[in-house]
Amino acid sequence: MNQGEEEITQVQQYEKVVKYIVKNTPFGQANLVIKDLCKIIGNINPQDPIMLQALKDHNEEHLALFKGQSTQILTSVLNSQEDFYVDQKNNETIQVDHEKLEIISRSQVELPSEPDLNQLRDALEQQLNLYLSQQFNEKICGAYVMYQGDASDFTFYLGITAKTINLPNFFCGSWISTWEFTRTQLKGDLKVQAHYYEDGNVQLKNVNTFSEGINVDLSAASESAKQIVHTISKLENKHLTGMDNLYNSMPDIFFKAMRRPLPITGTKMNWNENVHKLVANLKQ
Amino acid sequence: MESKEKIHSCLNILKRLPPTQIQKNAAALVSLIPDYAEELYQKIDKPLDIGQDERGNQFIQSEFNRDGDSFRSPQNNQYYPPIDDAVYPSEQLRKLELKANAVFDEYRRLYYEGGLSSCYFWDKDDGGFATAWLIRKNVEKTKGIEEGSWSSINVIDVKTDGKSKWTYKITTSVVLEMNISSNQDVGKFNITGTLTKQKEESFEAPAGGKDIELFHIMKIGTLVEDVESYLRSQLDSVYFGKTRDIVFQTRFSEGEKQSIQQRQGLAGEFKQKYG
Repeated sequence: MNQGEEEITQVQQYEKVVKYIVKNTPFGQANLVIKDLCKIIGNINPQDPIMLQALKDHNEEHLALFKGQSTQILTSVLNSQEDFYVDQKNNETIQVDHEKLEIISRSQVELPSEPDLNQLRDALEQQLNLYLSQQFNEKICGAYVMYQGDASDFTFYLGITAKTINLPNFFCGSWISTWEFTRTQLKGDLKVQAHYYEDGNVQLKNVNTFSEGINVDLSAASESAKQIVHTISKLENKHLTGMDNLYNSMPDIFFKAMRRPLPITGTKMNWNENVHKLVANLKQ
Repeated sequence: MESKEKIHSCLNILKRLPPTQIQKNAAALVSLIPDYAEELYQKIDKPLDIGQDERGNQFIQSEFNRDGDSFRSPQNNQYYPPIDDAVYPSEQLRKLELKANAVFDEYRRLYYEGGLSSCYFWDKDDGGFATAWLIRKNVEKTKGIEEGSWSSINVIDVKTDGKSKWTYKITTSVVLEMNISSNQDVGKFNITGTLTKQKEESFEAPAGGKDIELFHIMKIGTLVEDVESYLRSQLDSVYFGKTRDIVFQTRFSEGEKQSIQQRQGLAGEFKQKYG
């Protein structure tokens, strides 16, 4: 194998590992992980294409929020093009800095537009913003609404996310929920993640899917939007309550099943007694 | 030193990834720096594996009873698969090892009511010895949990001043996983955790060196019991619960945000009025 071929294989190996590690990193810690990966590999910096691609994938999977002067945009696989993201509502393409989570530039573009669907989209946006303000951590939260198709055959895509990032206190969490609906069916995917790593390392990864029949009336955009967001809210609340119940039962169904806090006698082990008894048995 | 920095970066990364995946994650990192593989693997705590002898008797496989790709059984002191020229504890230490396993098994029974325990001892050059007391417990399909696993790794370094004072330094790590694969309300729920604690204590051995082996087992056992109980309590009451808090401050439960804002509003008014 000549030098050229060997190098390609090594780079492919780096790429594979970097992708895997960054993909599994909790949102909020990717930049730190990439810095450490650079130290390990050596002769590579965070702006290398391998690192940037892994970061881009990570941001899209976590619905990362990018801030501009007066706007923000959520990035996902859905609105992602090679070099930019599409903002359907404002007819713009947007370029971003994945490391700083900032919008770099925007340009106008002509996109297909359906007036009936635009109405519903705007109404949904309004309802989602209300929902966000009521139920989510406002420091980092956002939503998107997009659609495909026309009035006779459409699919809407919604994304809702909030993040908690508190690195000085060693914790962070993400709520990532993506939905799509047609005239009669609403489907959703939820990813909930939490990470606490002060002296230890505890991680929660929770996924759930939802499906519910609905009836969308394009001529009553405001009412339809309210119903849809209300349904989403109801399903997410139910999930949260389920989580609460699970956590409340954890000491009993999990921890106690693993290891008792004390033996069933209610007292600690009597080492002196046991040592003498058991070692005597051994001799026999 | 370059290797120290790279290992440090690996450990930083591993701390940000799920602890029960540590073997896979470490392997991925090691593929980037193959020369440092041994060094990294020695520094990580991973869930304990279980092996068995030719009769089906189980024992724990760990770094502390490994030689190459084989593992030594604490019951019969044999390696599986068999190898020549392997590392064994000295005869004296092997006797202590047998006794420790018998006593630790009772501890396991009292606290874990199941699971598997193993103790391994090895000689050290300074006249002391070291030992690893290990427990692996699985919980399967009970009360809604699909699977759960607990691994505790207690490593105790034992030194003497040559007279009658013995110093025990313990490092205990617990690695936990709880997995629910399909719950009606929450879907797939996976929570993993690891926590480590160290403690050091010194004791005067009974005069004349009588029953020194029993003395060691009692002192080590008490330390193991204390630190394991502490870690279990921390994981239960602090660490796992913290992930709940993180979620609920990201996505509030119904009505909660309103009541928080209301309280903050009232507090603000109070401050304004009464300064």
